[in-house]
Amino acid sequence: MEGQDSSNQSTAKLTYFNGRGLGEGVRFMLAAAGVPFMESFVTEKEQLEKLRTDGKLTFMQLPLLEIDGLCLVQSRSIVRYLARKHGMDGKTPEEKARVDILTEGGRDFMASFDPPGFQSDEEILVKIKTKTLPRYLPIFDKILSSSSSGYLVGDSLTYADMILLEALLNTEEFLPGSLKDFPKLQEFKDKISSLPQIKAFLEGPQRKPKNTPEYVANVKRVLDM
Amino acid sequence: MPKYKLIYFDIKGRAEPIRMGFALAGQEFEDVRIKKEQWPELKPKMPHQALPVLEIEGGVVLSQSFAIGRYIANEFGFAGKTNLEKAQADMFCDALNDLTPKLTELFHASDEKKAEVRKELFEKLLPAAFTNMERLFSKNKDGTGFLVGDGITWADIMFYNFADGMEQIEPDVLKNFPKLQGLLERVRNNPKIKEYIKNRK
Repeated sequence: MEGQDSSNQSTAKLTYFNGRGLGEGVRFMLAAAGVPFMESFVTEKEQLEKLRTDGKLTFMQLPLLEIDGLCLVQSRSIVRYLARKHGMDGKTPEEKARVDILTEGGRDFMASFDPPGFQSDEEILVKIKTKTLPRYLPIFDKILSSSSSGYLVGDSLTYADMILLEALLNTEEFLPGSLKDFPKLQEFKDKISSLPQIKAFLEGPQRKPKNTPEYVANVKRVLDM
Repeated sequence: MPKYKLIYFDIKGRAEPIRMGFALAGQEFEDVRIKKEQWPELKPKMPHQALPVLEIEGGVVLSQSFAIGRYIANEFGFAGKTNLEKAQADMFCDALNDLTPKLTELFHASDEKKAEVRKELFEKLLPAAFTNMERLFSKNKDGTGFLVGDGITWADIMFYNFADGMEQIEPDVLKNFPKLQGLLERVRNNPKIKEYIKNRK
């Protein structure tokens, strides 16, 4: 039956490529919520075809998270499902709206880090340096400056903090030193990275490395790009 | 059907670090444990007439526990980030492996010989090995993190299983090695490993 998880496992299972892409945000959220998860890597077209014909992919796309007897797709929806379930989506309607808004902006920020390997590095870095960082860093920095808790919204971790963390970690990786004029962002990055469940995730193998040529070739092969 | 099938005896032995590696990576595998009686028939069919072996979907069979460990570490991203880190991880594992013949000797020794081998191990060989490890470990962030680089690697899993095994025989074996004790705790407290230890057979 479409949308139903047919496995008997009680552990959540993420099916995606063996790399970051749109799966990484889901991994970050699973880690933040303290939800252990198994991973299934799609390396051949046949695996994707089977998932499609098995009716597990509503829009025929990955990532897929099988959890609580459900087959969840659409990475942002998966993140919101987990956040809602674990009380990490804001406490009041106003907070929930704030978290949602900041996450949409955070996702736009993150989007500039999706292409590496698929477009030339120079093109990507120029765009990040000249458009992405000047737009997003000051905005998030300002919000954190007026936060007494150190979190983006309210006084506890939400899914908005997770997407900003992911974006800041990528920023440091691709353009080291970019956060030097934004001490609030550095503080935030350090604070969230040090939370025990997130630290363990970042230090472990489920945190994926930057796109490699093998990863790019894998994705192109499976998706017929 | 999982892509990987690990075959070993129903003990920790040389398979436990591999089982733990799969758990750390959140990867499925079939954990086949054979009975001693089944071994004579299976033995000639194994690549090196020994266990563990890892059967990979498609027909390839890997043997040699360290090779299997390195393979899954590379496949699932906990081998070390660069060739140099991978070599450092190998260095720690190979150094521990140097002690395997003596451990095997202890395991099989007659009662009279056991005390002598045990003394050599716990008074000479292990202290020397751990002294080296503590010193080398201190070069990486002063021994406050993991053996190699910034994250948990295969070397930490190997060390954990080795040291944990030694602690079962001699609980004080790491008493002079605070950084290694810290590492043991750190590995033990990794959420995936904690979960694995809690649920393992």
